[in-house]
Amino acid sequence: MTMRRAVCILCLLPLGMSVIAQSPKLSIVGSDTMAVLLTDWSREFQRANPDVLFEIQGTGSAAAPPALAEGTVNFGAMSRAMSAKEISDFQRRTGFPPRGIQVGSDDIAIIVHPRNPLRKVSRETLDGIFSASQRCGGVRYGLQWSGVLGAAQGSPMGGVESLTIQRYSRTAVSGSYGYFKNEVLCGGDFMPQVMELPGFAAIVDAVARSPGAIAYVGAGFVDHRVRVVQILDDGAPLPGAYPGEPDYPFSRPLFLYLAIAPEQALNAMECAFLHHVTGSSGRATLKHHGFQTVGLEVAEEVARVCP
Amino acid sequence: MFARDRRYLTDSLFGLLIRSTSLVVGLLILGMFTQMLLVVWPMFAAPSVSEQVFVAGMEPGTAAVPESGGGENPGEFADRPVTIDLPRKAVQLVLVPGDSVIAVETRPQLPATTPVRRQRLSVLEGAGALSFAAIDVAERYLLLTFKSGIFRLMSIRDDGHLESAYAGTLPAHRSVRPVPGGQSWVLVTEDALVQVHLVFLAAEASVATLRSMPVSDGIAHASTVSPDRRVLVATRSGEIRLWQLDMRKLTALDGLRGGARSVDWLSPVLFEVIYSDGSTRYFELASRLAEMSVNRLFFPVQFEGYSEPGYYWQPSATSDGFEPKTSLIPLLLGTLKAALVGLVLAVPVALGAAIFVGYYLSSRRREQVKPFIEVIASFPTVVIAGLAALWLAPRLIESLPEIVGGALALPILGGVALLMAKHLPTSVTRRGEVKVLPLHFLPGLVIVILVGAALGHWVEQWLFEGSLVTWLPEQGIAVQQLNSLLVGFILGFAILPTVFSLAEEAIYEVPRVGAAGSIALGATPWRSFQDVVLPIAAPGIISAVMLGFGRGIGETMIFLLLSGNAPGTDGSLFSGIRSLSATLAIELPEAAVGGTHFRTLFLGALILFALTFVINTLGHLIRNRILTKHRVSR
Repeated sequence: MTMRRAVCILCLLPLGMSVIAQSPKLSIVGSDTMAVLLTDWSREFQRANPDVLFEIQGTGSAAAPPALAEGTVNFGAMSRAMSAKEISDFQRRTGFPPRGIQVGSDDIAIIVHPRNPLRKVSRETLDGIFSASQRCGGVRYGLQWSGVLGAAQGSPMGGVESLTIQRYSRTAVSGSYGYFKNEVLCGGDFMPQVMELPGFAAIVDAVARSPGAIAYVGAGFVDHRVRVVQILDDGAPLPGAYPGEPDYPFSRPLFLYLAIAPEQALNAMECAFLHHVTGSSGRATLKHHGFQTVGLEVAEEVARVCP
Repeated sequence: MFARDRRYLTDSLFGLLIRSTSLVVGLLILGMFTQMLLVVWPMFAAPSVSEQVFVAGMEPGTAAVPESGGGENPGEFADRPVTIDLPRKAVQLVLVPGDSVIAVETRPQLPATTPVRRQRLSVLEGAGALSFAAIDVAERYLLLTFKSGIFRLMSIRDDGHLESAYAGTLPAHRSVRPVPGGQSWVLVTEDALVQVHLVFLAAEASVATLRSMPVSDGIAHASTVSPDRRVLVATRSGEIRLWQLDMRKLTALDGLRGGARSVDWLSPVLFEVIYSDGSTRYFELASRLAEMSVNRLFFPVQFEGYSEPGYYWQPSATSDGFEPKTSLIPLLLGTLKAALVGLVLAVPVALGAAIFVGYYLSSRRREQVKPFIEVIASFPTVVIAGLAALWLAPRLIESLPEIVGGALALPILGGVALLMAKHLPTSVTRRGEVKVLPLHFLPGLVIVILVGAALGHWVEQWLFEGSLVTWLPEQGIAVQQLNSLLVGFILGFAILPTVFSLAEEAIYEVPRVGAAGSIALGATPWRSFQDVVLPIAAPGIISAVMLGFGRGIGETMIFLLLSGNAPGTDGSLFSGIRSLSATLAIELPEAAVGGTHFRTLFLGALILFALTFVINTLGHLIRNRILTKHRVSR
């Protein structure tokens, strides 16, 4: 009996395999920051299209361009824009430039205690506050806030000016730590005084409890107990930007890259996935993971590759 | 007869079993120790090389572009223009040896670029041959070096326009090798390798010599710097040596024939040697593991971009070309500092309670009271630490004067009472005898503590201008919310039951005959405790304190949540610390197995292990010495 059943299953196996082989497959390679997001997107997409199979590899953004150029994947997920070298390598292999669609962004907010009068901060000031080597042009401040606040603006200090500057950061294993270190500190080192906590929630908590604190956190973790500081970029006369705004400087773009020639269009399933990602439920998932959505002009970009 | 034999047999078998279990425990400890040593040891071993033989025509370097850019030196001048990309400013600089610079604006999506500006640099005239051009990571400066050793730092405006910012001299050199990370360069002179770096001080950039490594028999050729920050040197005597940039020595590589003319990296481990007879051979280093030295672990080291040597712990980064900083001093200092604070806070309370419970209380009462104190030990430390982070951390420093005042009030009052007692008439002192458990003292106790706290508050107003939190930074002492005092407080709480339990046991175990005899001869209970019980119990008490210290050093969760994990090295009680145990908890899961970071962490674990081992052994040795001194056998 069992024997016969086993034989039967063996008979069915090739049939099943042919079904798997025939069912449409979407493969995405790239950013590990986006891996969880991509998995959630694919799960939602599968609910509507149960026969679609997904293959997602979150090894790192650098893995996306070569895989795209070889034509082995449908999408290359990257949590940064392609570098000039990657673009030229891609073009040398395929003869056309890659096309990137920004589907969201990962903003890093600078937060302080609500009592802190700091409203705007420049990159140089942040470099001075956090960096040990000041590669980005910062100036080392004293122990207290008075130096920073005096340099920033002259609004009422609320007693914060005489407090010690308490800097909070994620631990070195975090991707945001690496981003902040490379982007805000120009690759320099964090000061030994910077305190490292194991999660953004813990950092927001710590900042909410100490008036002298300053920290960087993923914008999705900010709540009413702390205040977000505006960023003055490169001394520009702009009023400054908040996380989520289009010109916010500390933002990692989240890209889906495509390998299609200028006149080519995507196939139906790829288009369906792109529409899902940029649609309302895809945007909700993005928000849920603490990322920022992009403006609605992304629909136009999608329309250009999916006529 | 038979039954008795069998009984003996089972008895001896059980004995054997028990002895073998203790042997197993011993072997386990030894095995753990050896395992850790085995993980740590390869870090200190000199690199070894083996020759790689390739089939003719299949040699590396001929087929594809080598991984580490062997021979390719993008910023070096060799009678051709040097192109430098500035991705942040979307500008490309083309430097033409001679006298001009062309700034070219680039757009990332388009390969076609258009020259926008031609700029004649007067600094290029008359300074001799250019050797190298480079920019800093933030694209604010262009460094131009000349073979004569003269260098110019030009500041780059947003549109690519250059302005002279800083000039100076470095050693005269033949060529320059960039170091991964773009912050420093190795100058190859006639008889030394000199690493120079960009330093920023008060937003001003300068170039300075960081390290230099003399090569006694002269340099024939030096390779590029590998991603693992290693340079190969072919000396004039034809030998090959290896310099790892942060080591203070040149390592002679064994197994290489003499007569080498030039040497270069083909990959992080593979390198080619060209001999004076024209032949080429390939060699491979056994691993990418960077060599570690005691100097880097325990002494101040100056790193790229730092203006002075120091103890830094920043062992890993996501970016390439990062110089790992692995001083164990901040971690050791942090661990010991917090454990000592914890001990200082816990021991007086624990010993007081131990003497009270073990000596003054009756056996029946002791059975009732003791478990209440020991129940503290059953709290998971993560819960205590979490509560403290929420509730105690924001309040501790703000209310420190009140806490200190309240804590000191009782001992001070007791001292005053003792002094007064000597001068009071006997008629008063005779009435003042105190019962064993003076419960009706409690309200008084509370009042004394409250008065002490009020006094503390008053002292804060009077001495510290109203607030310690703002007064201390004025004096140059940083006040962090997560600090070693906070860790010490909670660590003391965790240590308390350990010290109490062991010390109380030691006091209780002292035979009462001596104490009873001395009391019968007219000694007071305290006098009898001091002179009869304490000398005998002292070794036990000392080992209790030692074990408490060992417990504090090994604690992890309290450090992880309350210490701030900031690897500073100041002696202040109000700044954050980073402990060995918390560092292991944070970094070990993410460190690449077998890498330098991984092995350094294991060295930290080994030191932690050795530290507790030594402290416990020391405790036992002291205990044994005092035991023999008093000739008491237990």
